[in-house]
Parts: sequence; C-alpha cells; structure tokens
Amino acid sequence: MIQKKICMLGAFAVGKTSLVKRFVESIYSDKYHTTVGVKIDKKSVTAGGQEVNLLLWDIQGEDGVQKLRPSYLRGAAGYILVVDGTRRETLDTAYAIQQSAQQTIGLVPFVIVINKTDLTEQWALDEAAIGELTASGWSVYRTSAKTGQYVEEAFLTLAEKIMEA
Amino acid sequence: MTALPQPISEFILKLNTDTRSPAYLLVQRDGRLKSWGGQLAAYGIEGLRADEPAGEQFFLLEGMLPLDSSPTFLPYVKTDSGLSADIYLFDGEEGVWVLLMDATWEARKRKAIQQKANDLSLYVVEQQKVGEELQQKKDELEEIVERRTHALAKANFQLKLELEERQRIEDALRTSEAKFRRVSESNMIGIMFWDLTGTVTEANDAFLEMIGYTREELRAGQVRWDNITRPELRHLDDQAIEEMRERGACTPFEKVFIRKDGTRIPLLFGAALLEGSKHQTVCFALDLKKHK
Repeated sequence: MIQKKICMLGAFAVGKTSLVKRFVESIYSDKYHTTVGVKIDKKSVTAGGQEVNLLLWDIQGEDGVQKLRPSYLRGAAGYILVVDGTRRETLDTAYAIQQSAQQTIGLVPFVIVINKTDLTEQWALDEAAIGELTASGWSVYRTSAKTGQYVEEAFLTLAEKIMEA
Repeated sequence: MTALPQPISEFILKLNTDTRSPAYLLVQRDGRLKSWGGQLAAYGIEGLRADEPAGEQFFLLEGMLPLDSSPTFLPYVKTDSGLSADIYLFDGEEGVWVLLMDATWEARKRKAIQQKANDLSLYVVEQQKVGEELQQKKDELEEIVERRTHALAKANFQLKLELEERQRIEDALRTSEAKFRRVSESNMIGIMFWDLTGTVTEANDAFLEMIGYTREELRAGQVRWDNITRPELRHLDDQAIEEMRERGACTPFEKVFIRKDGTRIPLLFGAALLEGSKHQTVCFALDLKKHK
C-alpha cells in the first residue's frame, strides 16, 4: 500500500483540525480546541489511479511564540497551507510558513486553503490578495470545514499532485 | 558530562519507568520492524509484526527514516489511546530506536495555557475589528451630522431671508393700511365694504351720513345693498359686478341711493374686489349734490 505523509500547516485557529475532521470523519464542531503537538489521521483515497493512504499530520498552529518544528515536517510528501479568510494576518503567516517548509523539505506539492467561507459577514480577504496567490501559480481553494465546501477537492487535488510528482 | 552517582542514575531510571510509560520499537536499516517492547499498549500500539514495514504499522514512521539527524525529537504526539507521547528517534548499531514516553500531563498543561493564549489573541483580533467598525460608523455618523448641519444652516439662512421679506411686506402693508385708514377716517368721501350677497359689512361715517343710517344699524346688519338701491337701476350694479369679476374693479358710474328716510341721493360710485377675494368688495361714494 502506498502511503503519503501530508502536513496541515497554518496559523493557530485557522481550522486545520476541523478540515481534517471534515475530510476523514465528515463531522464538524463550532467549538475551538487548540492543538498541542501533532495528531496523525489516516484516510484512504484514490489518486493517480491507485489507492493511497494519506497520513494527515495535524500540526499545532503557529503564533507569536510557537514556531513550526522542522522534525514534524520530515518525510512529508506534500502539505496544505491553511488561511483563515476572516483574519487577514493569517495569510502573512502562511507566506512565512511556506518559505520555512520549502527550506526544510524542499519543493514538494502543496495547496492553499482559504477556510471559513461560511463566515461571509466577517470576511477580511480581498480579491486582490487572493489573486496574488493564484498569480504565483499556487492552487487555491476556498473552503468551509463547517459546510464541507471544497474540502474534499483540496485534499484530493493535493493527493493527485503528490502522485504526479 | 558530569557522571552521576549510581543511586541517582538508578532513581532517575526508575522514576521515568514508573511515571512515563516508556515503550520502544527497533527498526532495521531496511525499514522493517525488528523488535519492540515496554508499555506499547498504553499508546494503543498493538498487533505488531516483525520483518514487516514499520511505517505501515506505526504511521508516524512513514517518511521519517532514515534519520537525517540523531536524535530526532517529536514532542506531544497524540496516540490512538489518547495519551500524548514524546517520541525520540535515534540511531543504534542494530537500526533506529523509537522511544515513546508519556507526556500527557505536560501536554494538558501546555494545552490549557495555549488555549487561553489563543482565545485571548482571537478576542483581541475581534476587538480590533469591532473597534475598526465602530470607527467607521463614527466617521459615517460625523459625515451625516456635518451634511445635516450644513443643510440646517442653509435652511436657517433661507428662513432668515423669508422672515426679513415677511417683515418688509408687513411694514408695507401697515403703511398702506395707515394711508387707507387716513383716507377713510378723514371722511372726504364715503367708503364702505360689502359682499356680493348684498350685506354691507363696514362703512365710514361719511357713507353712513350719505345714506342716513347709524353705525349701530350697520353693526346690526340692517344696511343692505339691495335696500338702498333703486330697483330700476339694479342693472347698472349688475354690470359693475360683472366688470369687477372680469378685471377686479368697475368703472366709476353715477347712481342714486335710497336714504333711510326715503329721500334720494345721487352719487358717483366705484368699487373693486378685495385682493384674493371673489366676493368682498371695497367701494367709494361721492355725494354729487355737494360737488355740483
């Protein structure tokens, strides 16, 4: 069985754990629980015409004190950068994490997920900022862990990219 | 490194063994599991098979081996049993050792602190947003107030102009009324007001003297136009009324009034409709006997 390690990266409280729970267990909770360390989940998908076990490393989010620990990234075949669409500053954090991840594990496939699209009234990202991401050639998905919108698409796109790499 | 006395070393070993549920895996250079031991069940790790790929049995190892630095430390890994483990990976002669030590208590403490810190950060961000929204609303409100103040000042200025104009009109009216009153009260000519139904409403002394009625009789409504006009000359009045309706006033004409005592008095008579009225008229009468 092919197994691929995927890391969930991003600032704290952007919805990394909720996205994994939505993708793996199809459940969602409004209550915010911070993640300490890492939790690993498994989900089997079909990508590149083969069955693949995705090993999802839900890594604690970055804040002003906690920085990404390189040892968590070792062996990752790809990663998902999560941004909270209601907090503009989480996009800046995502840019910084992407640089850090690239230095640690090199050029591996990744997708950007702009989460919480259900919170339209609190939306803080303008189209220009999102346009800059897509202009860089990055795959961008606007997701909602709450409704499930585009969650599966984001994970499966990354899986396909990993299998193509 | 300072060597510790044996009792201390033994105590530390016992302490860790008793309190941190140590467990281990040994992975061969080819990535297959060689052996294992310790309290693996505490972490939900069961059913291990020797000589099978280690990464397929313990997912954390997928992609981790071989190590690029030894030891490699992975703190607070949440395991299938719910315990959090500090995991150390280090090279040995027989392969890579994977050591798990319970860190649940530390992880919980850390989580409690981190949860509060993150909640606080989110609260601060939320408050900043609320502050920005309030500022925006305040700016909008100030703009509305400024706009309305300007409109109010403009309306106030307009009102002042209108009041001045009204004052000017009232002054002109007072002057005009004073002039008219002077003419009326001088009794040089007879002046009276009547409506087209025939009621005489006001008259000066000169007019009352011409027709021989008193002011009390006038106030009692006893002075009526049709009573003091000769019936055979009524058509002249009808013509005058018609003319007033067309152009507001009639051409002065000679007519004869019947006095209260039945005698006749020839008059030069003229009338005009009051401004803005279709029924109220003001008239003058000149005694032709006195002037012939």
